Amino acid sequence: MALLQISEPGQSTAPHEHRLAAGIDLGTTNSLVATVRSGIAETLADENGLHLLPSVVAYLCDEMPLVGHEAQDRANHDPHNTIASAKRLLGRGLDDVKTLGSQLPYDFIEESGMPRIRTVAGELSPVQISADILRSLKQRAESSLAGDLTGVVITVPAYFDDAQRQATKDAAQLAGLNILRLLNEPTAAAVAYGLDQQAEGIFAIYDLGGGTFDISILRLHQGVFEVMSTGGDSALGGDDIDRMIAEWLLQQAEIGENASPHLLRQILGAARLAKEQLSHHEQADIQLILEDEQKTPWQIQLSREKFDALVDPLISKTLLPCRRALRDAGLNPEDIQEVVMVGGSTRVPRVRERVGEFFQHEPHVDIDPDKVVAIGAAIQADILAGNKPDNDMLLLDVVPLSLGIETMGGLVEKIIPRNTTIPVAKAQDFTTFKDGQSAMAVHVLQGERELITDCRSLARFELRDIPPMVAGAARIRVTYQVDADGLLSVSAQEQTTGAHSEISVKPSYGLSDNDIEGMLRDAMTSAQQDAQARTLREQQVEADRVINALRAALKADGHHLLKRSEFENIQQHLDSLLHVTRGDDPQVIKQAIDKLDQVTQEFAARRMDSSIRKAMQGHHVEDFQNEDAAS
Amino acid sequence: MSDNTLLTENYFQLFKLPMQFELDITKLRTAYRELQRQFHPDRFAHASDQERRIAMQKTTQINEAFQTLKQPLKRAQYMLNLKGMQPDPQVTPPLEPEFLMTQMELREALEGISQQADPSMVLMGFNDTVSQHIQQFLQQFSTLFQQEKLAQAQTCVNQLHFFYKLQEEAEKLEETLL
Ligand SMILES: Nc1ncnc2c1ncn2[C@@H]1O[C@H](COP(=O)(O)OP(=O)(O)OP(=O)(O)O)[C@@H](O)[C@H]1O
Ligand SMILES: [Mg+2]
Repeated sequence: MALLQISEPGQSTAPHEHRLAAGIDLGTTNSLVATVRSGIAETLADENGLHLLPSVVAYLCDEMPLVGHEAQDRANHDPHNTIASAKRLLGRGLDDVKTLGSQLPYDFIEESGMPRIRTVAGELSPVQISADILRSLKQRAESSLAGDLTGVVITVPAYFDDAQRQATKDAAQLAGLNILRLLNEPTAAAVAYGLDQQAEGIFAIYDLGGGTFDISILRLHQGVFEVMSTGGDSALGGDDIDRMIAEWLLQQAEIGENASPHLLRQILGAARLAKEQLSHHEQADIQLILEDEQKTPWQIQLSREKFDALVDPLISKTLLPCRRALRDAGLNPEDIQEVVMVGGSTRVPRVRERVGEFFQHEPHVDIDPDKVVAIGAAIQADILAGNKPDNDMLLLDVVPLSLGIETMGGLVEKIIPRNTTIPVAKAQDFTTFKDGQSAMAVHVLQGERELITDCRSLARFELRDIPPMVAGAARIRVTYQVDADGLLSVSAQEQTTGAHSEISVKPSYGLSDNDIEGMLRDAMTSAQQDAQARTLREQQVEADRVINALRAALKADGHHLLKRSEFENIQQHLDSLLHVTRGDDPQVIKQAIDKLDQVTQEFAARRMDSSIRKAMQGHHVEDFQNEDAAS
Repeated sequence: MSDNTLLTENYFQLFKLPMQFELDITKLRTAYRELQRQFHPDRFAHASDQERRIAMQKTTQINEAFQTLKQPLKRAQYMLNLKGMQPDPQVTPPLEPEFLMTQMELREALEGISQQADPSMVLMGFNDTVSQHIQQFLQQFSTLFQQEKLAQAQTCVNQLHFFYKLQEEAEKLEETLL
């Protein structure tokens, strides 16, 4: 493993035990869990043989919440305590929620910070509700795989901003899941589709689900999935189609503004049913019980034609990001080889028709639009868990929305433009504008617009202790770094003196670390002893890994890449790690591993550099297999 | 660690490409992909945290190098930087009046587009004009650079910035028209 792999990244040196890993599609409407078993990726069913888990949680007094179908069954008669579509609220602020909230039959608590919903089980955040769904999928996976999951890949809409991604990560942590990666939903779909069809070339993935819309344009070449551009709307999906129909029904039935939550639920349910029927029929019959004592239901028919007219504006709203994504990729519709339709809402015939027209291509609808995302996530999870050392697949994704910084006059200056391949780091220098200025505020924003008020505010922090200088003399370097999960961290440093201030951006709307820790503590006190023993084992295994790898690396390269004193220093730390590994304190072992990590840092970097040089010397560009050029 | 040290002397060498402005984008892409395949952190799934961190830094550099060479304007400036030129506005000579006139005319044209009868069509024509200017200046840059007329090449790049800015604004206008 480890250092040895540098020369041959694909190959593991030690026999490797299969680690249980899963891919989770945490959807607005439906969630799924999938895994790779004997080389085949498949979604896992519950005890009734059902694969889709409705993303609905019903909270009860003094009992564990119900998740999925059971919860869904309660939605009509207990609307306040049955929460659906929590994903639409994830990582959002109160303002967003107010606009969305007027459409949702929940009891929101309006205080500063993160929105919460009042239920019989207490005030709950969207993060907690999502965690309940994830917990249920975790249980399903662990019971059907008969073992603990080592890690999961969770998918998020490509167009999710930093706060929404962070909130998803928080939910996973709360559910006790180890996240290997946040993966963009259309990219996951491309993986499942691409591997299945052995596709090569340029593809568009059009993903219209329950609550979100994404478009991604990818270039597939010999196992490398390169996202060229992405776009979307994180508040547009089947839920909105339902609402359009519901509004029409409210009008037709002459129901005023103040429909009860019960009635609203019923109408939304009827709307959804009618919509789904219209995917296969020319007409849908809708029945509503308008008042409790009423015997005969109120009836109306919705024709396909009328339905198409109702959804057309929503479909148009998806084509705008499609156009932008094409432009950002520098492509025309005819450059797209295939359009792959993902998400339940692409079953609407009118959607297929108009997407087909736009791309001048009959869209590809043969794959199961519900399952592809989870399956792609499972494939990536299997690789990231280390089960597929020889696999050639590689995903190169992008930042969906530009990341910027506030400058004078409430304007945003972009530091990382949208559709930049991750991981990425960019630095920009700023200066002081007053003599003797000792602090500088950094305001981090995400979005495409020019005014800070039109962008999402991600974080604010201050660089202090700037030594007194005349205006314009200080050099303050602000660095933005986006990791492979698409998560941002920002740091700032005064270059002439090294005054340093660093933060990892956390969403202003999410839980604070303390909140999460508190919740985790509550959930975990009982399981603590088990955990202790497990941690010790994990640390010992990790120590073995590190020791073996380092020995191999020293043997291979130690003599020509290290000075004698460096070699001896490393050897000494290696010995002390060996020594503490035999003890029983996981903390001490961890410290020794970290220490060794620190002293071998430079060695590892030199090995990597030297192997890159070797790799590039070994090949000539002409030797690489050629491909179609369409850029 | 050797955090910001380049893998090779310059980006062209990294991708094994000749240092010239006209570049074979397919070769660039192929070499890029090959490097990613070897050094992306995901290829180190069961390596140590340390190696994954280093792989991440290297990948970040490879990405930066690719972005720089892929985009003509960035590539041009990068080539000048390698020759010791910097785009310092105080040092570069002022823009020629003729160039400024063109800029002003184009700007006026752009501002007038939304009042036209068929703004989308007019905008398309406008974009074509700007693209032609860009192509012409890129050509000119290439020639100047080959002749080692670096100061003039830098002026050319400075002028190109104006056209790219116009292109950006045209895109914004397009958004409002959609
Ligand atoms: N036959 C059908 N016709 C029309 N719409 C359908 C049909 N079947 C399912 N849908 C709609 O698809 C949506 C659910 O799709 P899907 O399960 O892909 O979403 P999700 O993954 O939960 O959401 P998201 O990806 O936005 O978070 C719902 O709005 C549902 O009503
Ligand atoms: Mg989905």
